[in-house]
Amino acid sequence: MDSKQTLINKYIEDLKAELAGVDMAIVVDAVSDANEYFYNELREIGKSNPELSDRDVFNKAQSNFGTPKEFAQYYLDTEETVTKALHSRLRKVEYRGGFLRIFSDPQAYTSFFFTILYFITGVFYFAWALTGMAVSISFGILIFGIPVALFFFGSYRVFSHVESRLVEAVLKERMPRRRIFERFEGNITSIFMQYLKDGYTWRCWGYMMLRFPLGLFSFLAVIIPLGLAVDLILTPILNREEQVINGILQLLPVESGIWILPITIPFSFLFVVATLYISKMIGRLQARFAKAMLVSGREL
Amino acid sequence: MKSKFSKELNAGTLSLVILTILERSAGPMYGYLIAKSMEKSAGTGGPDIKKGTIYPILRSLEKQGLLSSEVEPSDSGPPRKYYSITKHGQSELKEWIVIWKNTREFVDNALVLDNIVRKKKGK
Repeated sequence: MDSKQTLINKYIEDLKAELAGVDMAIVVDAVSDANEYFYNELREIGKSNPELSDRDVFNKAQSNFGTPKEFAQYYLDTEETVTKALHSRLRKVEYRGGFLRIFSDPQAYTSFFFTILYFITGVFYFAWALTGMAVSISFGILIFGIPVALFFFGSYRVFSHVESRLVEAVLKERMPRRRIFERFEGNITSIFMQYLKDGYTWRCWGYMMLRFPLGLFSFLAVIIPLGLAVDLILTPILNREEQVINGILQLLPVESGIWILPITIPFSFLFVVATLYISKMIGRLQARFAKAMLVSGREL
Repeated sequence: MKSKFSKELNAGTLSLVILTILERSAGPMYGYLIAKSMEKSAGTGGPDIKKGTIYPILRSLEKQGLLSSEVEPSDSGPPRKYYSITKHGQSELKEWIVIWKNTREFVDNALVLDNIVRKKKGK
């Protein structure tokens, strides 16, 4: 490893130390940016000043860019400003109305629709992750087995980045805004082995595998109360047999009909409220799960 | 005090400069290129701006919808994130330029007035 790379690595380590305790998504972005700048600047300074030593070239680049402490502070200052600017509008809105304030919370609705999407994409992710692993193992003995496996392993990382962007956009959970800086070198077999040994690859695969059962659970958790809410309205109107409401009302010596709507409407309303609260809660859990799997443990 | 004032002044103007550079560029630019372009604009007498300040500003502008980005692999080194100005960014830039011109006129007038007063007092 040449000394310029050693100096960059030292800078990155110091930067990570300055950002200790900060949201991991911010750290990933800061490290990616620092890597991009130093790689380009060191190359340019080295070309225009070939007489300078690696240390002098690095010091010149660092004086233009900022020390790890300074760069970390730029990031934290800007992040704080942006967060305040973007969320101040939401904070100013006071959701009045006790437990009914959920109706004026846009996050509840976006979480509901995201849960539907979560289930659909979960099916795809699970199928892709399982198929990819099976195909990679099956083709492992063939000459094109490694390129095929590399394709699937690479796709897990790409899908995970797409997922993290979606989670940030919809669920407002801070996630890395660019892909983790990957420095995999060597021939295709060497790169494949690095992918195999990289914990992040397996976290992405595990995330995609778990998306189906979690997506199914989330979907049922929001659809069941919503279904009950709709059922409590429609059944008395349509007077259908074998519905939940009829099941309950079979205990009474009367049949359900329009006349029972004044009783079922309030319960239906409560189920709608419950759906929104459950959606919002599940949205938060989905965001935390994505962050725990795709960000918190990422090697930088 | 001098560096604090400089820092606070740069914080507001850098976003304006970055949007202007991207508005005038022929195509998307990555962070390092934008930093180099700003270095040329600053010249020898311009403000001492650390290039590290640019990157978090680029991300914040993207987050606010004023810029869009795409990651492209480079021939060597880390993949690069190329930024372009959005339509929303272009309309915001027009408003910011007006605000900047008004602010500059206000400050220039205040400084000119200050010079006149000082001359009268014989300072």
